[in-house]
Amino acid sequence: MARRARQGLSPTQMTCIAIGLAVAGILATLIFNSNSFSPDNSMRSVSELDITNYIRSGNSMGGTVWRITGTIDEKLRWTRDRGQVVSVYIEQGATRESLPVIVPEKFKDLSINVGDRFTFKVEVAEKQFLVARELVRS
Amino acid sequence: MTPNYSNLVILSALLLMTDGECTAQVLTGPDTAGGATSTTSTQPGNTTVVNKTPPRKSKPFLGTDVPVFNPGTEIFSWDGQNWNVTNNRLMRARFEKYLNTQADDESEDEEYRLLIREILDQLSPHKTGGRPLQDAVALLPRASRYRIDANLCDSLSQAILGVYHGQKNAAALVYTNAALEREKKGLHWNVEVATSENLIEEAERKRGGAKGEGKGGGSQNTGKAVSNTGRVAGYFQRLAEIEAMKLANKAKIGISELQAKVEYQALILQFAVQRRWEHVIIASRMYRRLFRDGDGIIEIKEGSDADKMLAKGLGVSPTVTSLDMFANEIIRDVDEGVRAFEFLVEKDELESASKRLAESFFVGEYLPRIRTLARDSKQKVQRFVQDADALLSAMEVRDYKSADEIVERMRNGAKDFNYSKAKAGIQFYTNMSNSSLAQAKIAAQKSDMDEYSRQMQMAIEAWPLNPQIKEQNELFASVADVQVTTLNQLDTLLSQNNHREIMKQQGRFIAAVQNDPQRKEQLERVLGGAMELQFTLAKIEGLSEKKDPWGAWEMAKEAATDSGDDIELNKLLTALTLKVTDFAKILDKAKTLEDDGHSGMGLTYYLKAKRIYPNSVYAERGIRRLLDGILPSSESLPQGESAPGRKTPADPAPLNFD
Repeated sequence: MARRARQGLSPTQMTCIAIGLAVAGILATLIFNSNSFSPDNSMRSVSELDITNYIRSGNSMGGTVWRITGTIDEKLRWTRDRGQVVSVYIEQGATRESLPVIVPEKFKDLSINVGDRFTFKVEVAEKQFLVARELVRS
Repeated sequence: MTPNYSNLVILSALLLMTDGECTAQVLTGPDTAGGATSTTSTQPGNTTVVNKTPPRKSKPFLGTDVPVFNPGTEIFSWDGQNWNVTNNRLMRARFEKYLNTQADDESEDEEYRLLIREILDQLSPHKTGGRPLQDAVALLPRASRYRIDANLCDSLSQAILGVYHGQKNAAALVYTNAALEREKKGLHWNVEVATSENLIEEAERKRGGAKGEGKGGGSQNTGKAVSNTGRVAGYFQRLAEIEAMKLANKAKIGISELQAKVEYQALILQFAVQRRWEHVIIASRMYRRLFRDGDGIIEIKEGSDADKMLAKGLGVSPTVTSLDMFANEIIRDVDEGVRAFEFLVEKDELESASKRLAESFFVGEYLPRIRTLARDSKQKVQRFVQDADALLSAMEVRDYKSADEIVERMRNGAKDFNYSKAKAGIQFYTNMSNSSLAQAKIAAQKSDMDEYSRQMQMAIEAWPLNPQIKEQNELFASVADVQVTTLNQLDTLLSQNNHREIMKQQGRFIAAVQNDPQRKEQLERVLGGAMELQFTLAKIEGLSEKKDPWGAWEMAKEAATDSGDDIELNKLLTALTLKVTDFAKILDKAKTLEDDGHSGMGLTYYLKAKRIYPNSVYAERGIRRLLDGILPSSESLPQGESAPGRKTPADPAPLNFD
């Protein structure tokens, strides 16, 4: 008896599938590289810290995350493997203050120098310390 | 017999020591209470009077010793005490009193002396006829009426009356003995007769028996013989009684005579002791008239007090005659002494004059030459004697300043005053005292208090009234007071932390704490701090002037931590705080937050302060402290901290912000 011949994808089908996968890949790349996934977009998602309010009632702000932007006016302490503490000079209208920000060790590859301007996503941590969760040079 | 000076002085001294010595010298009766015994005995030709010295333990105050004089030293030894005759306060006082006493009334004295002379004339052995003793005794009551006589002539009359009664009693006893003698002779005759009758009767009895007479006649003769025998026995008994009575009467005669003699001799001695030389002469001459047995020796037991006084003083056993001569010699000697005094006064040789008069006075105080000496002439030496007394007193109490002044005054007043001895003594002791004072001052400067005390003691012993000692003591006391006050002030300022005031008065305090190591160390520490504070204040003012009030404030704040009570610093700090109020408040807030555990906010405030004053030391320190808490530097980490998992429990763990 005669066997039935095996039936596979046709070349047309194969071409269509390949084109579809290519389009999907392109789309994924485009989506991934879009603004909605960049740090800038993350910073924008948090409010800017009201310095006056922080200084006046920092006690009640524990655990909250804020955004601050300022210039590094002094590197208060730097360690090789435990992060560093910097003083960030911030101007908010007429208010001008230097706030200490703890930059954890995970940002060690980032070059932070006096005079550099950064935007920090900070959390009001234990003992009212501002700890940088994210930062971008601005 | 020539009396020497010692004899005279002995007797003169005896007057001044009246009661005790008189008791011994008048040879009184036994003092049974004191255990003393006084015995008398009569030997052919003389009388012995023994007055035993009572045991010393039972002697009353001042005793009954007779004083003994040492002519070499002019010192009397009496009752265990030594007395310098020419330098004795009692004698000097008596002599001074005499010098200030007006002379006796010459007319009255003259009358008295004439009466005494008349009595002596009556008793003169060359006077013939009359009743010399009775006439002399009759004058005694007249003499006793004069004040100068002090009733001594009356006492003499009493003694003579005693002798008279004694002699009258002895005469009566002699008469009684004569009667007994006559009776004795009669009894002897009776005995002889009775004895003869017995012999006749015996012979007749024998003859009758031979003729053959009867028995009755024999019995009669026997009875008669017995009767005669009894009568003879009575005669013998009476004879024995008469003999006993005669012997008793003889003894009474002897005792009566002895008693009268002893009492009279004692009276003569008493006059001598009282330096009543005229009365000694009168009594001695009456003695010859009262006791005609030629007995005049007064024997004294060798070594007894009376012997020391008379036999050794006079050189021979005293007799009534020798006392008579002795008294006459003294009267002459006193006369010469007074004449020498008058001559020396004229020559302004007051020292010798006063000595001659003193000698004469002590021996013959009651003699006319002494009693009638004009006060004007006595006054010339009176001042010298007063000065001499004052000099002796001053030397005794070591008041050499006064002594020196007196010596100078005496030297100017008396040509013959030998001042060298006194002057040498004054110079020696004053120099010694001053030298010790100088040594004491040196010791005080060296803070050698032991040596200071020793030298001061020597200075005081040498010259207690040295005026420099008083000055030195006052100075020392004032220094001590100042030192105590200064130390109290220092303690107060230290307790107040008033270092600035201590700094101001540092000179006083440094001097005061020299001998106080603890305070000295404390003061040095305070002064060091105060000096440093001065520099700091200068720096603060400098910063303030250089428009750096924050730096000045921080420096003032820092200084106030160490010297918080300094007024100047506090003033400055207050002024600076006003200038940097905000800065100060921020730092204060930062520290408060830090202390409350809000380290993050504290750090923020320190940074805030640092922004105001970038050179702020306080901000920098605060930041460092907080950073050490949250992120210790590698250098400040404990050893091995870099290795994960090895933490020291004592150190707080750094915060983990990852």
